[in-house]
Amino acid sequence: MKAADPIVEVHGLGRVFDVSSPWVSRLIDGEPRRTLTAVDGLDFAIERGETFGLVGESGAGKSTLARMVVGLLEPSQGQVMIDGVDLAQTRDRPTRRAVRRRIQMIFQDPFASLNPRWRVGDIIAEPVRVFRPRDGGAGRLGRRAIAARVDELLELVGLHSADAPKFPHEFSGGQRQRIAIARAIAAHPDFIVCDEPTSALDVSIQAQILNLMRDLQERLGLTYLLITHNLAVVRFMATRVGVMYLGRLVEIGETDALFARPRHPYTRMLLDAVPDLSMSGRARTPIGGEPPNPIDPPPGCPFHPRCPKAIAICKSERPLFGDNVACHLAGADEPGPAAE
Amino acid sequence: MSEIAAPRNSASESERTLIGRLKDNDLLASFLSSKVTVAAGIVTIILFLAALLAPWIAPTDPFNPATNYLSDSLDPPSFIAGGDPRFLLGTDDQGRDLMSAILYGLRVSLAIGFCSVALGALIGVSLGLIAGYAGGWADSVIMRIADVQLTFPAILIALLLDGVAHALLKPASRDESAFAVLVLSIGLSFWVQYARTVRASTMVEKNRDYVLAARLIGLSHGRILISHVLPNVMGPVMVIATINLALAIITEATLSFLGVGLPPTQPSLGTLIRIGQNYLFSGEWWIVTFPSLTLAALVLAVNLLGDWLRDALNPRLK
Amino acid sequence: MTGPLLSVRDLRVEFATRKGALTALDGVSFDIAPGEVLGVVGESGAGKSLTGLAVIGLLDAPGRIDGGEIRLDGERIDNLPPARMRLIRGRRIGIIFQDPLTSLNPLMRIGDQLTETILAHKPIGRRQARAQAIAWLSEVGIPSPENRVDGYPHEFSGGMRQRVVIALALCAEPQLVIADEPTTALDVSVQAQIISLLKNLTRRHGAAVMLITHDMGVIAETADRVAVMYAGRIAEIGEVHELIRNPMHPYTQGLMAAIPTLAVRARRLMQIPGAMPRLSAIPRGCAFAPRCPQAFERCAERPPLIAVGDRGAACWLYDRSPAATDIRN
Repeated sequence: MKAADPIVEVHGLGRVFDVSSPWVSRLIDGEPRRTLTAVDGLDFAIERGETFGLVGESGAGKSTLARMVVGLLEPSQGQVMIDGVDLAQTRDRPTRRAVRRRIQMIFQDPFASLNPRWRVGDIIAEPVRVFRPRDGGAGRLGRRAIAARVDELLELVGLHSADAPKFPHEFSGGQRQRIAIARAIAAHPDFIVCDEPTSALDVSIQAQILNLMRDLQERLGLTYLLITHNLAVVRFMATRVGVMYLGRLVEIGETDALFARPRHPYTRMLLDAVPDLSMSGRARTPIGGEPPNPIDPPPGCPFHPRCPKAIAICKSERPLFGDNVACHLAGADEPGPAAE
Repeated sequence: MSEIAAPRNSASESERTLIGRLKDNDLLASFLSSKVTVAAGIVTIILFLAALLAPWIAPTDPFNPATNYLSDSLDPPSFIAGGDPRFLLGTDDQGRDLMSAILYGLRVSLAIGFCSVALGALIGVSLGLIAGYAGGWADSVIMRIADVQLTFPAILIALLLDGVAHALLKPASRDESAFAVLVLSIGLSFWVQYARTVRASTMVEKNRDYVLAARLIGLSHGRILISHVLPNVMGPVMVIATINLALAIITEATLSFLGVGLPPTQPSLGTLIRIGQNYLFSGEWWIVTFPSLTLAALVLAVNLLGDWLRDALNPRLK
Repeated sequence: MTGPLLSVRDLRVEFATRKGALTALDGVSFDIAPGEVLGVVGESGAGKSLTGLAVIGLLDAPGRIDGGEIRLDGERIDNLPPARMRLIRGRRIGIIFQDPLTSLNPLMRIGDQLTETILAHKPIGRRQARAQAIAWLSEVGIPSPENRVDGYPHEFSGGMRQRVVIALALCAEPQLVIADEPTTALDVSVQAQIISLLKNLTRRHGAAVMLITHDMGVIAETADRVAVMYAGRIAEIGEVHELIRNPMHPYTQGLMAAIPTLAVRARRLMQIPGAMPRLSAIPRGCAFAPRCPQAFERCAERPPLIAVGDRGAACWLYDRSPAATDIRN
């Protein structure tokens, strides 16, 4: 379904990496240039205020997509529009700054996303200093104002103002992720990309962080793009979900509907593969095979070698993304509910 | 928001006092655990202090011709028969008190050592940062230059630069600029080590998430390099600098010994050794011996400190 | 069947640091019956990996076993000289570590690694060992094993490598396999395959499994019984379905409530306030008391593992008698 009030729109987004051997070796061995298509023609939109979950396994291209959406990586094709502005095409500095201020990112590894040599207060204050956000007047924010803002942010994420002069290594993984969140919301962004924000955390800490993220979303009116491989986390956090496989979107849908009635065979099998904590004793068919190598994808539909429902056309023709699913069998074969 | 409050780490609060932090400090503990290192540390501090306070503790000023008595030249040390109690370690051929000359020489040697290390580090770290961060042709060019320079021994390069400088300068200004020329030659011959280490560390750090976070808010590359990357690559630089200090002092001594370093009117330890060498076989052994012992003690102590520092920082150098 | 296969009693593991000795495992006791799968679950820092390392004798200095006993089939193995322990490792206890990349020797062919292991523990000839190696590769699901047996580890994908590691662990037909986070580094779809493979193979070859993981879902699928660890101690132990449906210890209750499920979209995840204490700051008495919503005065004293039927919980809430019953299972 088309988003009514999109804050982010992605059109035909793609990214290709050149992974050829060095020129000399290629010459000697007679090898052709090799490319890796990490993301291949993605189209989706994210509505203001929602949490869009993106799931997929390794090689799906989620991290590459995340980096393109926030402007850290240039797309090879297509465009990313943040409220109508394409960052990659805009050269005008004030516009670029205005757009950058509205996007932020939370990274997976709480031990690597904070500069170990900087004090926590400075880490959080950096976006504030760079963007000099709405302070009413035209002047720079003074030191006291910045310190006050840092204290406010620390309290907001459940830490103390006394934590500002400390270094990151004095904190646990969960606390560092809170600091990373404080930094992300410091300059009043509208849209935050969360790249596996809790994958490195223990279950009980994960619960704290996810609850915090939800609370902040309500309080500050944030929009999230949540990237994860953990389907249960997506179930809890996301309003809509997109499923990626080998750089392509295979299905999009509202969370409840997608989990209750997955339409793409890969989605169905992904849901089936998650260990069953509720032990409903449901019959499971584990997926065979492994995610293929993105340098050398299978022809036609990339999932066909592992798909139990693959037919002849799946091996030769790539299914187009239509009606929120990319499968030759969608519509023709009406799937029943796969998981209780 | 107490429900989402993060757990308090009460243990870390109590470690905030200075004494507490010193007691906890792994580096300090590692330093104190080795007697050799402590001894090296003490020797280094004594020599540094001696050099620093030379103008006040030296019995005479060896560079003031007015106080040099040629009649007192070549006097043996005071504790040997024939020695003059005024001159603890004897005098040299110019009648200079050897003790004072050594103190001032130490001062000059250390000054050149520090300055050339600083210069080498400045050039090396800057080039290393650029090569590691930018990659591509900048990296290739810098590294090829480094490779070429590494094929020559550092001392030869210093000699070459020294000679070129001497050739270019007017004879009159050679003496005054000797200090600067030495610093330049030695500094330029040692930058490669810094560049390589910093380049390697930079290549690792530039892909870390905190650098991505900085790029995300639109910081310029230069700003990211200096405020984010640099503090994280400095660790190994300190180790190299310490070991390099000893090397720089030896190099200066060698150049002075060869006669292309500091002039005899402003002798460093190396110059003194050169002068003394001429008198060695005629029996005036002290002119060579005491400066050599001082030089050896300094270099050994600094080297040992460098070794300790490298091992102590090692588990952290991940 | 006589007695348990593995019996751990009051295991204490200490780390010597500059500031004194830190107790990492404090009186851990459990049994594993022959052929049973015991899950050991806990968050990071709880001591589950340490328990596995202690059992198999791979504790590195400055850690050391400071007390308690470990018995394999009745014989003590915690105080054996390294040479004897090496014989037991591999022959009677197999290991599976988390990262297949580092568990396999990158310079040795897969077939050779398998063959060497088989030869080290079985009195058969080289050709027979190689045939067995190929048979094992087939059993763990490597397609066309005769062709792949001479490949190097880097030529296999992550899931395939982990299958090889499982083959390596089982090829000497051990009585017990210790698996430390065997599926954590793998993709979701591959995890399911590996879990099912591990379960089937160990059942087929009659090996017991000590499955160490932080993932409750994996435990639910694979284990017969589960021990929940917290701050170096066992908080609760019991049959897996009962424990998950009806957790007794407040920590287990909190943990289960904090896990997001696929089934329903929760309003909010239950969270346990605070965090697991660091080794240097474990409180006196019950380690969980500061975070426990049901703590009371008795909790100032450390509770033993109290028997409730054939389950156990280290919590004073279950103390029914004036003298607390101390169970050994």
